Parts: sequence; C-alpha cells; structure tokens
Amino acid sequence: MKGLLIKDIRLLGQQKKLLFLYAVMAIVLGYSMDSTFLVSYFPMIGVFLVLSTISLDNFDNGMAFLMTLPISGKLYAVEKYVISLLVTAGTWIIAVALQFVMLMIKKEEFVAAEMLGQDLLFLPVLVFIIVLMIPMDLKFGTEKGRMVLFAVFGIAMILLLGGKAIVEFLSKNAGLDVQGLLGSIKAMPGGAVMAALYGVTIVLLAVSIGISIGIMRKKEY
Amino acid sequence: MIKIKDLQKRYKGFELNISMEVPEGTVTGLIGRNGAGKSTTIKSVLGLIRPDDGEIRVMDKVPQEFTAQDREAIGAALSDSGFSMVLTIKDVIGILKGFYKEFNEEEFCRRCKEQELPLDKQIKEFSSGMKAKLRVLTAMSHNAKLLVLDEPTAGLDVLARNDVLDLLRGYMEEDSSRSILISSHISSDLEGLCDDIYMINKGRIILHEDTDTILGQYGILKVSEDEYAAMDKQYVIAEKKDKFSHTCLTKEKQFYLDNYPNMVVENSSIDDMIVLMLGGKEK
Repeated sequence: MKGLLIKDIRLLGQQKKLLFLYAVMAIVLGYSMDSTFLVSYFPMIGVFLVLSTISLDNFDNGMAFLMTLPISGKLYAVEKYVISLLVTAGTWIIAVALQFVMLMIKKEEFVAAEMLGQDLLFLPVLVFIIVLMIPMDLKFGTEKGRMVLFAVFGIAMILLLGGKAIVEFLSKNAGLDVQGLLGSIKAMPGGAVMAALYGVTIVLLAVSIGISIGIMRKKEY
Repeated sequence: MIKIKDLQKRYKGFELNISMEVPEGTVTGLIGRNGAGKSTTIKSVLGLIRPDDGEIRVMDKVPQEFTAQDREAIGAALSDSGFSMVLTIKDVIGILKGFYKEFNEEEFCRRCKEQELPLDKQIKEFSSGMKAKLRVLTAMSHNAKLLVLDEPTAGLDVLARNDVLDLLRGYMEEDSSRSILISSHISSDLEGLCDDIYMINKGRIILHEDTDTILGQYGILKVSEDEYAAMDKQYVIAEKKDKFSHTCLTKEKQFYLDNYPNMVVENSSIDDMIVLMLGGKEK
C-alpha cells in the first residue's frame, strides 16, 4: 500500500496550487460568512481532490499499467478509502482549527464543546460522499460515475418525496403520530444521535469497501 | 519462465487460441499485424485479463494468483499505458521506491541521465521516444527476472528504437537467467534481439522458429512460371503469385541452392516471411 499512497500523495501534490486557492477562498468566505461554512466547504474540496486521483489513474489507460505493479485490485480499492479518509480527517482538522482561530480573531463568543459537536456532524456527511463516489468511480469511471451519481440523487429525491407523501397519507388516514415520532427523536440525548449516525456511517463504509473490492476483482484492463 | 497452453480468450469478432513458451534466459519475440492478438497475449501473461479457457503459468504461478512478491519479479511496459502524465520522473522514483524492495535508484537515475530524460519535467511534456524509454527503464529498474514488453518501440524513430533495444540487450547481458517476452510489429527490432520468434495472426500462432534458423535456413525463391512448374515444391512453405513470376518462402534454402543453381535464391528476413505468410498463400 505504501507505493499507492506515495503515488496518490504525489498526484495530490501536483494539485497543490488548486488546493491552496480553495483554502484561501474557504478562509475568506469563512471569515465573511458563518465560520461553519469553512468546516463544511474545505474538507469537501479535499474529498473531491482525492477522488480525482481515480480519474488520473484511469486517464490514458493508466490502470492497465498500475495493475502490473506489485498490487492487487483489492489493495487498490482499499487504498482509495484509506487516502480519502486520511485527507478528509486532515482537511477537517485544519478547517476546525482555522474556525476556532477565526472566531477568536473576530472575538465572537462560543462554547468550544458545542462548536466541536456541530463540526463532528460534518464528518459522516463527508464519509457518505466517499461511500457513494468510490464504487461509482471504480465501476463507471469518473465521467459516467458523476452521471450515475446524479441519477442516484434523482431517484433518492423521488423516493424521499414519495415517502413523505406516504407518511402524510398514513398520518391522515391511519393515525400515524408523526409529530410524536419526531419529538421522541429530538428528545434523545445528543450523544446517542451522534453515536447512531457514526454507527450507520461505519456500516455504510464497510458495505461500500466490500462493493468496491468486488468491482475491482471483476475488472479487466 | 512462461508456459501457455491452449489459451483462449474470446471477444466480439476475435478469438485468441495459442500455446507458447518462454524459457529461462531467452528473449522471445511475438510478431504480428495490429489486432493479431499480441496485446491480448501480453495482458493474459500479466494477469490483466482472465482467459476463457486454457492454462498460463508465469514463474510457475497462475497470473491471477500473483502475490505482490511475484509481481516484483516482473517488469512490464505497455505501449499505451504508464504512470500518470502529470507526474515527473522524481515523482516516479518516489513511487517505485515505495513499490519495489530492489529498486535501484542510483542506476535508474544514471540511465535516465544517459538517455537525456529530465527528472523535473512532467511526463506529458516528453516526446514519444522519451516516454517509451521511461517505460522500459521503469520495467528494468527493480532487478526483475522477467520483462514483459508490449510494443516498446512502436511509434519511435530509428535512433530511439535502437536506444531502447540497446537497453534491453544490456539488461540481458547483466544476468543470463533473465527472460524477456517482447511484442512488436516491427520485425527488424526482433531480428537483432530475440532468440526465438512466434508469429501470430488472427489470434493463432502460425510460426515458431529460432531467429538464427529464420535468418540462416529460410529463403526467398524468385522463379518464373516455367521454373515454378518444374521445381520441387515440397519445401515451399508459402507463395505469392505475381503477374509473370512466383515468390516462394522455403525453410530449406540450401536445397534449392544445391539443386537449382540458376534459381534466384535470396536470404529471408522476417518482413519477407510476414508478407508471404500473411499476404500470400500458405502451403
């Protein structure tokens, strides 16, 4: 895995100017707007940049050569998750640190634990992007992968709207207590909600890794 | 080193069905037209595609079961694939160090310098010849026992082709137990490098011969209609009829030199063989 990690770090290094530009934008916008913007925006850029290494690997039929190196398809897939999670965690830590520095410069009052709790909610969202995008990019390539992703979001929206209509129908006709259900979720302690969110994310991550390994095992070059 | 028995791979409109062998310490060439099945064979050997049937063993292992350690013993260069073009040779050095325990940085840098490959320039700025040299140097950089090279000289000028071939000759001279499987559609490249040559056409091996035998015993007979009618044709492998004459390929050049002193008998090159075997009528 060492060789693959070095390769991806070197590929990311070629995009350092772009990353620097995005970082400056994030700081300027984060300073002028709500500082949580920085924590959501900056790591998101990091995730998309690291996922672009799949596209760079595929460019000019490069995957065929990569697969002649001392690696397997399984290792290639796993490494993409490792580098993505490392970059996500790294950019998130930088963004949170910058957020705290900015708030102190702006002399805004804040409770550190509350702020951190809020920031921690972004991590599962970022991981969810990784969970969706890596298998898509490995299966369909970056271009087609994006199109499939849009299709998935479209279907998800339809299902969401359909679900909402069903819930509304059930609450009107079958006496489903939606408000009561939402109230009981809100009443749950913050820690429990966070633990559930992270638990679901880890399960989805494991499923996504399994799917990606399966895709890579079947691939021919 | 490589043993292929009844390897079959089917695509729409194409079927590969071959058997061949690359013994230890030899350079084996695979020659044929574009689309003959050379790359499919190379990819099968490297485990990049799965055969539909038949058996391949590379260093006594099935390519699909290669471990990282097995792959370290193989150096590969593909004609249309390599490291990302946004990288520089300095990046490539770092990456190869991470992949191969036996990567020889000093030697790699020396060879790059010798071939005038800049270490700081992005690969996308290299000429075709420079890219090809880098692919071959990369394959040779980690003391591999087996080099598998798909069209390493395609698209290069004569000088760049000679440089690449010289690199390969040097690699074999360093250790006689090493082996090379090299594909090309440029026969002159293989004549001066290979110990034996497989000719492939439409997914089938149509000839396997030692290079010395091809160059020493094979010959081209240029005969008139009358000479053709009178000659013994038992040693004619392939022939082509022109307007007023026949051009024949034989494996027994000496037989015709001894028995038909007035016949025009020329030495055969691999190109002649290709023209007659693929473009003429096989006997």
